[in-house]
Amino acid sequence: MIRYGAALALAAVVAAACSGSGDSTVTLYTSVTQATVDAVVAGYEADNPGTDVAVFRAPTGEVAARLEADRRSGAATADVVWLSDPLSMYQYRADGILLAWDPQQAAALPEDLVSGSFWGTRILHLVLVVPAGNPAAVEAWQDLTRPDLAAAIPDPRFAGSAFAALGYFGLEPGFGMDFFAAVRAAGAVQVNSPGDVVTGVAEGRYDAGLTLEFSARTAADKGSPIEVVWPAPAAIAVTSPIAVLAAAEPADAARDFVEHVLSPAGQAAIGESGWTPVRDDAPGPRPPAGASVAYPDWSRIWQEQSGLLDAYAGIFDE
Amino acid sequence: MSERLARPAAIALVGVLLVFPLGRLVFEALFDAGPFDVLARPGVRTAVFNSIWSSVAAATLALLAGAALAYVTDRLRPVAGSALRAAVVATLIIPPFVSALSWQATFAPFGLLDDLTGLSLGWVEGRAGVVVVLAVNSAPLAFLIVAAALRSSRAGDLDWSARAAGAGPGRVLRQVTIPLIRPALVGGWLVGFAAALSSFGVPIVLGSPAGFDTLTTRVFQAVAFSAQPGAFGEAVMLATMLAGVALVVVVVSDAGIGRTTMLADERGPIPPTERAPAWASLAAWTYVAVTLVVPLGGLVLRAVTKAIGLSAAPANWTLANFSGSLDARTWEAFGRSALLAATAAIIAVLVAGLFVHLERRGAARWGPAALVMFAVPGTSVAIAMSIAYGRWLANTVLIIVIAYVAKLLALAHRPLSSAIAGLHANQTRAAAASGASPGRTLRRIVTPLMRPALVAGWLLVFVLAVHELTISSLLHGPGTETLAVVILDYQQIGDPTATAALAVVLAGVVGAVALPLVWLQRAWQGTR
Repeated sequence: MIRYGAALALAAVVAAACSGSGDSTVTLYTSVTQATVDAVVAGYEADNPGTDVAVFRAPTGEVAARLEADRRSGAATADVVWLSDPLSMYQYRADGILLAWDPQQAAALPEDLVSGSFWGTRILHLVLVVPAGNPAAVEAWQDLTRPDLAAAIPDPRFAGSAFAALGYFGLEPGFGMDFFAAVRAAGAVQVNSPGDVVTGVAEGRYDAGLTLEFSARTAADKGSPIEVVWPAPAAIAVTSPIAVLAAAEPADAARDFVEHVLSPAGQAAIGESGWTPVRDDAPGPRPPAGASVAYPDWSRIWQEQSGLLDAYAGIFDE
Repeated sequence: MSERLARPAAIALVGVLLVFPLGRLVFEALFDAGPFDVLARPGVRTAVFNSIWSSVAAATLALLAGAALAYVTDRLRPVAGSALRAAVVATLIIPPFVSALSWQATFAPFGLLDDLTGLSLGWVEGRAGVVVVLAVNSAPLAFLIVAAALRSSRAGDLDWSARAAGAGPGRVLRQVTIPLIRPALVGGWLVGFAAALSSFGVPIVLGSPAGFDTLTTRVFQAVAFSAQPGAFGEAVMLATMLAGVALVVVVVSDAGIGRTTMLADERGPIPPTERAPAWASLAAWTYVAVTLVVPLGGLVLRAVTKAIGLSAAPANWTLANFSGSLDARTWEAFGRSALLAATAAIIAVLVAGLFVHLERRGAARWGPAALVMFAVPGTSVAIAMSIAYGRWLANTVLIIVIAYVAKLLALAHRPLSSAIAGLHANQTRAAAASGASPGRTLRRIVTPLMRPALVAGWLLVFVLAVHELTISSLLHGPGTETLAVVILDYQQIGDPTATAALAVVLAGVVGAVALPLVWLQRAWQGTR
């Protein structure tokens, strides 16, 4: 048994040591869904023979924790980070760990997605999900405060997208933290993630909930008895930003990868994997005609995050 | 290994697995976030309080259930006793990341039971649900530990002597059995406590709707914001506090047990002859039905249903969730997870064996110290390992294995230390007197007698390592993706039917590994 164990351990070490690399390797840390990352990376590698993209994929919090642990241990770390929401990017830019440069492809992006060190790559929409047929005639965010509805919202302390909703409502005139207090007073419950909101509405536990349009659409496409409501006054758009780290090595390959993600080909791959691309000229799902979409002010959200979170906790914790 | 090297080796292992990573964590916590700043944050004190009382309650319930089941299966003869024993242990094959979801989907309002019978348990979503599901998850661990002690021949013989001398079953239980197996009762409670303290999945799924925060949910909240200044330090500080709570509880209760003094002779215990009273069989089988059959059935139904929210009627059944989620990459991740878990389990058993060997010679009791790491949530263990060893081992499978061994060592140690306590000193003395070297005695006398405990320890570490999502999701690298990476992707997309399908396959794989080993273990016990 001892010998077998030692042999296995040795084999494991050798296998790890031999895991191959190409001529040059770009290390990508990302929280973007696997299918999307796979499609984009495959396209890049096909266009750039000799360059490998090594992917570390994990939920948003784990990606940030891994970057922080790498920094503290002095381990080799990411060349490119590609996240689901911009909050961490504002901090990284303030910390000076992002490379400032101008991708050629950025010229084709909408103005507010261009920042000089990170760029939106796809748009996640926060919407309402309701049972199929929308029996309670839900049409606006304010419907979450209706006492006759059992509503659910995802916990902003776990899900980045839910935090975007907290930031948007918390700072938006006409909503503010009073909106959350009213939602809570009407009996709404918080659940872990946007996916859990969809599950709860599909199972009949909730009459309406705030969630990611992608999750609701995926479940509805599989046959779940739910539908998406693009709420008034506006759905909330969250851009999924990408950036090159200042210490990236080789930096030109890392920049090439970002150019690819923003290029028509990269954007088409994102659209085909089910997310809304940021380029208007790329195919992909779009909000229906007549739906309005609002972009939260992330630099303010970033500055006021702890106040927002504490106010939220004051409302939703027992 | 030569005797002289045993102690330095053990010290080095404790250093590598426990002291250095936890020390790094404490260092980062003190350096980064003032410990008192974190305690002053709103809600942290409530979370500390919630963690402690819910873990105490869950561990106590788990011990009551586990010990009662162990007593029924081992001292009484319930209906289908060996199936009952297997079924209690089999609850371990339900991965913890779906157990809370299964309970919610099965017993909560609008769940399966509600659909079928109109009955539901509203308390499942809330603090009571958190405690009960934590207890159900820990009960098989307590069961295994207590059952092993009951089966040690000394406890068995003394019980039967007392019965032969005319004591009633209740009196034997109170005055003979419980005092004899007290170390196992305390051990079972401690393992349950540590498991509950480090649990994340249960409080987040069942506690969150009621605003019930624990230290582990706070750790995850802090991790989610770890790019922000202070948040990472807060996560580290909270994890250090969890380790501190565990350390205090372990030290206090370990001092309470004292050294185990159980000795045994070569004969196994006399098998029970009386049939269990009907109510005992009924209660035990009801427990199995509620904790294993119904949630597992609910999980399978969810896995074969086309989409979430459709009724689980045959018209809506499909295998698409399996075929859709089980591509080549998933199988590769499955294989890697299983191999890593198996390797970690072998190493954990060897390390635990070394500790037990030294403890038997009166050395420091390092084994119980391993419980401290078991009480730390997986994410924090991963952060500690990453800070301690990332520089050299980032992206290798080795760092994942080290983390698994460190986190789960306590589970390998416990069965071995119970078994060694049941080993008669005369057996090794006789071997030594006959001229056998210590190594030969270990190989020819001790190891064969300890085989059931070695297998039990290996299985526990293997099963919990395969189920562990948070450690490898942080420590994996390109080319070392584990099953956790795949499952968390489906959870992030919000596809519960695909997640259920993966959980069913996972339970099947774990069951397929465990069943032959459990059978083998019984065969060995029979020949003892």
